[in-house]
Amino acid sequence: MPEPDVTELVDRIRRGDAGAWQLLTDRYLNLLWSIARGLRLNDADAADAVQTTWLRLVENLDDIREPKRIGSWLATTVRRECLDIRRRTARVRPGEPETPGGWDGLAATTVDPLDVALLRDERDAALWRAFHALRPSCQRLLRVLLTDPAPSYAEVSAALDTPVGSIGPTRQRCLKCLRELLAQDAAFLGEQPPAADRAPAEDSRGEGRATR
Amino acid sequence: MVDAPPGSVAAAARAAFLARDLDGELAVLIADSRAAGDRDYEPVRASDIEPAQGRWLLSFSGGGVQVDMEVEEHHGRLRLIGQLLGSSDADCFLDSAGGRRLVEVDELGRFIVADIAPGPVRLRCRSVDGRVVTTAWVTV
Repeated sequence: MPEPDVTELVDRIRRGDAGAWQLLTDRYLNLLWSIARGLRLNDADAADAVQTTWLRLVENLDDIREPKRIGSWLATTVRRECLDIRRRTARVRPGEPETPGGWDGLAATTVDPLDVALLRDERDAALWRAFHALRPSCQRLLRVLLTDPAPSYAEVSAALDTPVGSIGPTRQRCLKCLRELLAQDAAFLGEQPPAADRAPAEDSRGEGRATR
Repeated sequence: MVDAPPGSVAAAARAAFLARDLDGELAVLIADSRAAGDRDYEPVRASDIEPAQGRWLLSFSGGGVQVDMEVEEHHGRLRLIGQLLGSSDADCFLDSAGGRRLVEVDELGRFIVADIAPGPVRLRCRSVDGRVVTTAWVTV
């Protein structure tokens, strides 16, 4: 079934079509979730950030000027909500230690509560070990890039507040790091490195995404 | 990747469409004491208090109504204390994940709503000239 284009979806939503709303939320939910989780919000805060983003879209439906860029609008909105929530919770908990390196420092020391559930088998475990050894900025980028359905580069740019032109090269560098970490991990454990298809699907995500 | 959103997040996303408000005017957030770089509330803070521990004040304006309110936290639940200007004293509600509840507003426009779970909230009131005004959603 061909996916309806987002401009058409927004048009239908504006006319009150709840089915179109469901298609739109299904399409972008994973992206919004990955952005919130990439910013190291816990489940409850990530859920609030995502929900406020949907409510804000409903609130501003008639004011969205470029419906075809709705994904980027959503990505920017959820990122800002996450920043707001982080700032407010940081202030509600005054005893929290100042982490060196700001967010990246904090991200490096925060345990991801979902990780335990993610470690389904040895290969996943190895992949996630390597993933968490990456720079936090790489982790954020890969989380967002690996969202299903795959986001456009414009949406990734909005999600991470980074120029579109830097996404491709940064992604290459991050994947190279990930491969090296996996190889080191395997060497340390005296195993064969995980098969290439276990690494994030580089080949299926060509640079053509940028012009989707 | 495997970090998928919980089912409740998807269900809430679908239900968000029910919050669509066709007849209301929007009162937008005009000041937030916990926003980066917001200086509007600076004078209320004692200079020796860390901003992180300062009071959390929000102001909304639009549709002929102004709302000023403070958010207080107590044992993980929240309380809103505020004042409405330009609204009639009837028909004021708070929308949150828990549903819609009536907000009692006194003759001076003051209100208190206690025992709110953290999450997105908005107020929906009627202005003195009869317009329905809704504040922008804010995550408390």
